[in-house]
Amino acid sequence: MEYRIITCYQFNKIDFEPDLIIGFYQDINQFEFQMHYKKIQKLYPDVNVIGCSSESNIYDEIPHVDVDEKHICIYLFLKLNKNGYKIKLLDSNKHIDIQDDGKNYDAIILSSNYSNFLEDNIEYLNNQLGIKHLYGGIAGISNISNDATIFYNGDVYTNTLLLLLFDNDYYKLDGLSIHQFEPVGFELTVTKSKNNIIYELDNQPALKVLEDIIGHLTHKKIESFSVPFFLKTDEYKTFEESPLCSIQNINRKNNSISLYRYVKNNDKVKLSIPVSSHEQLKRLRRFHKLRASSCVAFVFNCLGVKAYLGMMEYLYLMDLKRHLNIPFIGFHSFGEIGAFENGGVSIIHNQTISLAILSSVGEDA
Amino acid sequence: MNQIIDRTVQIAHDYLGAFGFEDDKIDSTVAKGIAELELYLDKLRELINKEFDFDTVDRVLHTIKGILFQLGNSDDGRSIDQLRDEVNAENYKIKIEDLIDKL
Amino acid sequence: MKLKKHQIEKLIKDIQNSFKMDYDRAKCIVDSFNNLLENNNTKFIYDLNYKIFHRRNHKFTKQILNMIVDTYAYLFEEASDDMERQIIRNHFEKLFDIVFIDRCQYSKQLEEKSKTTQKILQHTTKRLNETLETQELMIANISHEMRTSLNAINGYLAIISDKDVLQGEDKQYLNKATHATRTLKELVSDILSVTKLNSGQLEIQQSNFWLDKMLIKCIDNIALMLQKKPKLHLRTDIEFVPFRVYGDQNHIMEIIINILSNAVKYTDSGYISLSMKTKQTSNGNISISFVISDTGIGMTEKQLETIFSPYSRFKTERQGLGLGMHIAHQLAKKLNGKLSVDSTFGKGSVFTLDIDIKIADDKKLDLQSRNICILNKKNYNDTYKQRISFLEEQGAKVKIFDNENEFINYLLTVQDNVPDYVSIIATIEGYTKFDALIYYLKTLPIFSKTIFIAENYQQHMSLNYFDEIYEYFSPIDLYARNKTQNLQKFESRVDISILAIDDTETNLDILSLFISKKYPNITLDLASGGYEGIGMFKIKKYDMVMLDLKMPGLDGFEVFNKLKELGSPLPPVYAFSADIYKSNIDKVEEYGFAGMIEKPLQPQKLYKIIERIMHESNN
Repeated sequence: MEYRIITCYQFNKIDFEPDLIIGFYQDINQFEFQMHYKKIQKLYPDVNVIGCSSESNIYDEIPHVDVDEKHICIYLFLKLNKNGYKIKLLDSNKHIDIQDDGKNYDAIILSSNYSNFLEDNIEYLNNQLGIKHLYGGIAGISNISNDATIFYNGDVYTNTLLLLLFDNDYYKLDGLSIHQFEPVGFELTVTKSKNNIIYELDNQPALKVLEDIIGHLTHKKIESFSVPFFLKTDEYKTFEESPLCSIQNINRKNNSISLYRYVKNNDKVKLSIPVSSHEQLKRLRRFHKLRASSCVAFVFNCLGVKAYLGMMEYLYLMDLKRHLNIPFIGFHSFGEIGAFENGGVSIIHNQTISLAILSSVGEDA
Repeated sequence: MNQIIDRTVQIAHDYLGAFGFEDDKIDSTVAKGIAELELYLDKLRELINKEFDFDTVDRVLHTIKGILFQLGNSDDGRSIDQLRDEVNAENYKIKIEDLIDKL
Repeated sequence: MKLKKHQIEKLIKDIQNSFKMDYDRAKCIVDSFNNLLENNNTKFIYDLNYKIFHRRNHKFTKQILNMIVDTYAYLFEEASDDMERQIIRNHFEKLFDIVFIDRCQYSKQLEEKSKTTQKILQHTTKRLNETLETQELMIANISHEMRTSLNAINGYLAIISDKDVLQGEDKQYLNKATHATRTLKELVSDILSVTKLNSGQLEIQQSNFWLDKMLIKCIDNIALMLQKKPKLHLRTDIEFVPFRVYGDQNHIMEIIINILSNAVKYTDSGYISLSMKTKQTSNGNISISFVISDTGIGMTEKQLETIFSPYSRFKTERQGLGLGMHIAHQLAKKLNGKLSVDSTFGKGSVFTLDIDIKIADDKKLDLQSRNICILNKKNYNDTYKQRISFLEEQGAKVKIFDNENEFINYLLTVQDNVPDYVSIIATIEGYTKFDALIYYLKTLPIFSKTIFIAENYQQHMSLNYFDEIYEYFSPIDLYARNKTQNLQKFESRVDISILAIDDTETNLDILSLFISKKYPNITLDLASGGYEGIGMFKIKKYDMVMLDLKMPGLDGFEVFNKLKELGSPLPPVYAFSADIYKSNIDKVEEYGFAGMIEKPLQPQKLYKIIERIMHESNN
């Protein structure tokens, strides 16, 4: 597998014919990304180009996060065996039409937005198709007036999933999602909700219940993603294995809280507190177990991680780089898909650092 | 009415226990005592619906008082004793109902 | 801007000296710094930041800061013009921003976030405490309710047992059910105790008490358990304490009994030793150390660590919920004492309860002119000597014999100053002959007030004629008691018959309870009404009748008249009533009752009446 990570200004640095290009673009620079696609097409007519929008990109150079907005479009050029991968584009009208061909796959999934469609497909991929390693992210936006989009060979899509399947005979994915919180306090039951809005917790106005515990919830607190919930549905036995879920907004008129994912009545919710810095590092070091060479990594960091960790985010990414010593490409997403254990069940999270390492099967480590 | 029973049970155990009786003897005595107390308390309730007969009311109250004292519950026993002096044809229903509510 | 050669060399040297780095590494850093100055490549700044983060050492951070400040000061001085100085200033500001200011801002943000965390934790703690309180109250109430029901179950089982109608297997099932409810009751009591302890509901009840008497009760509590283990012996080494103390006797007893019970439970053969040592403290209290050791199974180190945790139980075949030691430990703390343990696996354990207690502000024992006669053939230890000295200090006249024949001769020939107490400390075989002697002496009027005590007998033969029997030692305040409180057992041997007539079963029950405990040989017949009573009176001769006055049908006065009409000599008939009014008393007198027995039953008054009747029957 040959690969190279570049920015849009470095197309001249590629010295091989890529089969697949994965790119991430800041939403406000979608037009540039499309323009660059035309250049790429001229250079490499047969290449597939996939990607999605981001709030901001994560790049392979120090400081990895795009502090100066220099990395508005980033690319991973890959030379792959054509039989080793498949791309599927799905919108909400289409079901996954992957035939069970007896092969094992790992997958990267990019979604333009969070939806039931995404939840159902993740479940389908996990349970029906038996995909053990499934990672990805929900496209992000930096400007609220824009739509998050998926890019596929020149076109942009909304309300769409893009699936990049890797045949395990040729390639594999290893990955992990971690967060820096732990559940605390008594569980609260969602007693009235609709889609992603919680109206009542324990039969009391949701916002009132929350503010009784944490005090007045300001927009600053919301924007800093400092009060995520652990959301336990019937699928999960404990809060520790449940996903984190960030507060998107609050409505003081009807005392409701809206989240970045759907919630339903009788779901259980627990507040969270950040773990100590010692524990944060300990969790980060779990990525070191994924170490492999001759490979490349995808990083899906929640926008919440960027807002919450601040400067610690790039320090953690630098630490990750030093220890894994593999190039990576990624973006700040509005949700991540990953598992708490390598090979575990993948779920949609918020506020995680999710890593997926792509490597060739059979190559020397 | 459960309050008086509960109180009496607790007091009786402590009261008889202080004399050094064995547990099972105390249990047996208290069980019998409580059964009798409940019987007479029920009789008291029934009296509300009957015509006033001083002797009957007095006797029932006297018996209840006696059982309570025997089991060491002198406070409630004294309350019952006081009631014997207060009760008459006009007020016996109210007094008994009052007692039942209070206890 | 670009670093000059001499500047590069100087910086490399400075880095080497400050950070003990080799030349190549130092050069790498300086090259990176140069890249920053020349190309605005911020990699250097982020690398530096990472190093500070990675090292997490404030001394190292300080070194870095010094290096930065010195470097920039040096370059600033070396700058050729204002433009260069401005560039240096900008870079310095950027470096400082990223490395330090960002950190300060992050710390400030963390502080804000930690306030939210604190609020969440405070709220959780508050809710947890409330829940715990509610749970504890709930457990206490449930335990209480359970105990009430268990009492009823136990009571009804006892009633069935008393009726003695079940045979064979059915009887066995009944016994098992009784045993099971008893166990359940103990378990519920334990849970209640723990809950009370944990919720601070446990009340300390202080009173004056004798330490030796308390320990006797503790030993009595395990006596039955010990009897079931013939290869297990109890040794005592109790320091003589000649005064009462003021403390929570019941809870101290609970701790000691808990430890003793456990010692018996986990020791099949050998011995259990109970000792008590005291020391006067500076504030006028005494410091007591109770030590209970055994030759039992002992504990491993791991078991020792959890011995006082709730639910620690080392062998599942041994009964119990495992709360006993936890309760004992918590109680000790509650009493401002300390319970500690040492153990060797396979050899045994030693439990020590240390507690400070006040000396009771008490009037002394009045033993003035009490005559005490002691036969002691062997036990001349310090404790014994201290006891004798104390008795003499309190005014008693103590006569000690170590020769049996002299002792017996004295008792047979004494005419004046007959001893109030005769205490015999003999060998196991020795008591038998004294039992017979006492039987004879009690027939003599001069010994009618003497209390006969067997001490330290350690055997399981029954001594029928001794008034008091103590397995290890008698309590010192025994000698202050009057004879009337300890009736001659000889008199209880007289078989008198009593008829009690009362329509309330509870009254008869209570009467039966008290009489049978004190006088197991008295025949007590119970009649639940006047007619039944008269019927029973017709067919049997009674030495005493107790008659409830207020009964339905025939009341007590009417029954009394009917008994008189029967013609046979009327035994003493006592009115049994709760209505102790003058008018009632006058009426009782007028009718010719022998007297009145109050309800609720006053046992001592009842016993006096019975003893009077027994005495009259006897004579």
